[in-house]
Amino acid sequence: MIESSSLSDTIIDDCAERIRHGASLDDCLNAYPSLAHELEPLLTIMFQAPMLPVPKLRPEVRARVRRQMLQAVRSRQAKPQGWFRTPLLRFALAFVATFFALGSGLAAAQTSLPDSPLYGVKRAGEELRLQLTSDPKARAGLYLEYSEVRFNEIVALSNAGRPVPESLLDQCAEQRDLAWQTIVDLEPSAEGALQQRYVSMTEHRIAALSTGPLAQSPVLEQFLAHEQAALNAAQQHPVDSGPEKPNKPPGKPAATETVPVQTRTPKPEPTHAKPTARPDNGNNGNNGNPGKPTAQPEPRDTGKPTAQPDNSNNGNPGNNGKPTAQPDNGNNGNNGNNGDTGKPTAQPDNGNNGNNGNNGDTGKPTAQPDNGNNGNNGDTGKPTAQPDNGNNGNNGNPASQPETSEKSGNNSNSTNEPVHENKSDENKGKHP
Amino acid sequence: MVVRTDTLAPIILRAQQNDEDAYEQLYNLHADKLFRYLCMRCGNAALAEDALGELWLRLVQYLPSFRVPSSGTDQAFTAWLYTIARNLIIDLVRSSKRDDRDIPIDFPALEQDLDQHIDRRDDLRALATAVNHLTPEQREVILLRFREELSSSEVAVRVGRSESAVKALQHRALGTLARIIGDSRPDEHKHDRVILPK
Repeated sequence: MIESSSLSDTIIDDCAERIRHGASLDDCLNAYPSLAHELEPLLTIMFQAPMLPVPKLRPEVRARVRRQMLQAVRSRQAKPQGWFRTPLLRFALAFVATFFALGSGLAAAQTSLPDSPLYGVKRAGEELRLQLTSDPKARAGLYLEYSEVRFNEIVALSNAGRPVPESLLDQCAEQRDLAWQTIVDLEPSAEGALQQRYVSMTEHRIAALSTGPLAQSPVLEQFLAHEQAALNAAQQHPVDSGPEKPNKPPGKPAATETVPVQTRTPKPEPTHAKPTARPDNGNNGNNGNPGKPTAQPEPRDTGKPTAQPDNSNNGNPGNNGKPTAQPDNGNNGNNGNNGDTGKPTAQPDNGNNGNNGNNGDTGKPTAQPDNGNNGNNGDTGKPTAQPDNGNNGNNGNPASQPETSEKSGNNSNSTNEPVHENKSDENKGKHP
Repeated sequence: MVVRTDTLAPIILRAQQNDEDAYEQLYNLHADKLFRYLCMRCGNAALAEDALGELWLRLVQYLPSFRVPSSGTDQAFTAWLYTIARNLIIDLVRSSKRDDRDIPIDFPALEQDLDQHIDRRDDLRALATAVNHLTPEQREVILLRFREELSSSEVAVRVGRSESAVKALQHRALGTLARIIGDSRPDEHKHDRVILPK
């Protein structure tokens, strides 16, 4: 049994180092004579170990491994090197690739409709853009854009014969209202162009909804009404008008709105009207046919003329199918009478009244001597010649009506603007 | 005492620029030693050959990431290279689901080589058998230290240990070998002095 407890690692290593440098067994034993007995078996192993068989690398394996190595070196030469292989750039490239992939996905989703799987991506992209936009002007532009997109989706669905979800209509109107809300909150200088765009967009929609296949869709009827109300509100909104702004949502119709709106399904009025020759030397009473501007030509000689001398002022408008109470405190000629409806107009008259204008629906010409003032005629069943020597009331038609002459004095208002009340009071008391 | 040298530095730098000649120089310098090292860890030449091919592919792959130190490039590169070899062996052993303690060194040419040392054949056969009873770490140190004739510091670089740890391993391994060889001898020859090479 070999006891090596008295030997240290250093002594053994020193002996091994001596042998490595050519020392013999005896040289080592002589270096540590007191330890010779313990050292000898270990030194014997140290001398035998170099004689252990050494595995040799076969030449063909050596050549094969070398070839594989050089092939790997060449294939690495073909790859991009240096900074291109840095992790940062790889991350950047991955980010760009992901960005473009998402971008192309979003682009593909842009044409999707609400029943498409990509529609959610489209709406999410829109919402993201809105969230990232803090400038109110830009936000207003986005709202307008998105409302337009919703409307285009409505049109596309309708044209394809697919049902239009009610939520889509709501979203379209909501984004339009949001756009308006944002526009009116803008500085006046920034507001104009967007308001113009808003009006243009709404007009375009109304036109699209009033004609073509969209006009046949009952679902869009109420939507059209809201569009019209929105347009009215926008048109009434003053541009650059100072700090006070009407800030109401334009989508809901206001009670006092008087701007004529375009009807969705224009139908001929159930009137008995025929072309009327209305001699007018002065101002006329209101015409009975609102909403349809009619040119009123010079008096023509018709088969059955009606002499209606008029020497005084005329009073009240003769329009409106609905009865209206219109107090008259002055010397009024009486009213141009009703046009289409045949319903009488109650018009309390406190002054000297002349006779009445003619009725529209009578169908029969009547001779109505009039020493006072005449209102003008509504649409009569037959053409009537109505000589008028005095001043007449307003024309009922808010649209343009060419004045034929203003021979007589005492003229009161004779504007063609939309009117809400009789403005012919200037002449009161002048009637003989 | 570790001697720091930098003779490999220019070759490594060229190899990092994909210089094929530099790679060939490194290969010629290290291929045989690595093969022997792989053999002593794998146990047989066939497995070591496969491991050698894989080792050089890894070297080509990872050499660009090797940082050349300001001094001691040779030792750093050798340590790095043998670390790759050890990890490769670990992967191979793990994939073969064997404990590397169970892998005996196959000395394929033992009989042929022993013909050169016909008078010491029995002793060498006994030594080879005893080496296979060592732990892989001890076996590695003994073969590197005495068959490859490396210094303790050089062995330490290759096995990834400190020099003092190598000396301790060397001491224990020699003691174990002497005990095994002594136990294997017939009683009448236990105290015979072995014939040593001159």
